[in-house]
Amino acid sequence: MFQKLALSEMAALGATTLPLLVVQHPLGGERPDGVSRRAAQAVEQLGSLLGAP
Amino acid sequence: MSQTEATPRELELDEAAVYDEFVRRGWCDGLPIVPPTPERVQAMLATVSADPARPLGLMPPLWRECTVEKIAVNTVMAGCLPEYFPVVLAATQALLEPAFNLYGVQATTHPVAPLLVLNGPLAERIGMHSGSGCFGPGFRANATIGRAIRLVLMNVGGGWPGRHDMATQGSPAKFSFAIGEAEGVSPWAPLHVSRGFTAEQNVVTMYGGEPPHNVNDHVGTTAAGILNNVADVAATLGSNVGWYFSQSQLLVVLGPEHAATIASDGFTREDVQRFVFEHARLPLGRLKLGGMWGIHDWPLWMQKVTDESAMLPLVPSPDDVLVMVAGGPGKHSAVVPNCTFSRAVSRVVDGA
Repeated sequence: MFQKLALSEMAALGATTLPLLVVQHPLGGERPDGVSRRAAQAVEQLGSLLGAP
Repeated sequence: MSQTEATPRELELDEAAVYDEFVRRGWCDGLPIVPPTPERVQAMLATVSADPARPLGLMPPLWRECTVEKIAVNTVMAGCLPEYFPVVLAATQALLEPAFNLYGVQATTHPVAPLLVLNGPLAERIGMHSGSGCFGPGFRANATIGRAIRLVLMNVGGGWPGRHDMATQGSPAKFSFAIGEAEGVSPWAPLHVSRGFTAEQNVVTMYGGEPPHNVNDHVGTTAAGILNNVADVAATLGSNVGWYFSQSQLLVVLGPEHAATIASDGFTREDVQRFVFEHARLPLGRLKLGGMWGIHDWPLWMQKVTDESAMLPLVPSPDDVLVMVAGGPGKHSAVVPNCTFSRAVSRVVDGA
């Protein structure tokens, strides 16, 4: 749901082509192993985004 | 930056149809609006010297240009009288100051709403109520000025609930949140004087707060007795205050009877601030049970505390306990905790 806010802001700021790294909500209340899993997914995404044309 | 120029359009619609259309487009808060005809908007603009097209800044979260005219349009929609407009304009300018962190206030999951406090002679002149039920309904200046701020935040900033205003539950204070101070019955100088202005200046103070939390004390006959209750209401584990320490503030709105009792014990405003600062605290061991433990942002000296029973403050200094007097007869006061990521901003109402 927070992704919509990010997309709206990107559009408002004229940055629609910027890649977006998405972390699944909610993060608050997650146990450490869940946070680690999200972090690993984020790093994986970041790698793909940095390698994208 | 993508900006859409506003162009006036002539439409033949009755007022009910205008309301329906505004609801359909998501341009209002759900309540009926006053259609912003050019004449009505002009009447607002005539009360200030500012150029209607003057840009005041980009308003988050959609970072749209906020102009004097856009504020006037929303002020009409809220049902304000033209003489209220300088207040709404000054308040909006205060919200756009970096210290207020309007992006955080607009987009957070916390139920924060900007509380507008109007001090100075203008408050009485326009009927900004500061007596019985001042946080509630019944007073046009309070209701419509607070509503105008909300409409600006929604229509200019784009803070629509569930889309860009991400408040989990929101709050009734998001409809309207505006009061005056009962300066005539306060035993101390008004809030704006404590913040460096003169008593004759008209000043808005914008404070990113939760709805008022009640302080009930029907038996206290001393300053310490009443202020212990105030401190207890302020210091709760579920509060946002204290977690982002450097930006945390508390607003204490004392009812006139409580204020009189406190002052009769010899307390100055500074004494009230110091007392609440020293007593609105939680032990480290309790803070570890919830709230935002683990994602908090504390100064080094607090991070290094190891004694579980150490009573830690919620705000950085006594100056971060704002004190004012409002309300009518009765033994109630209120604490308005801030959202922990915004600082109160005061600004003179130009031309009023």
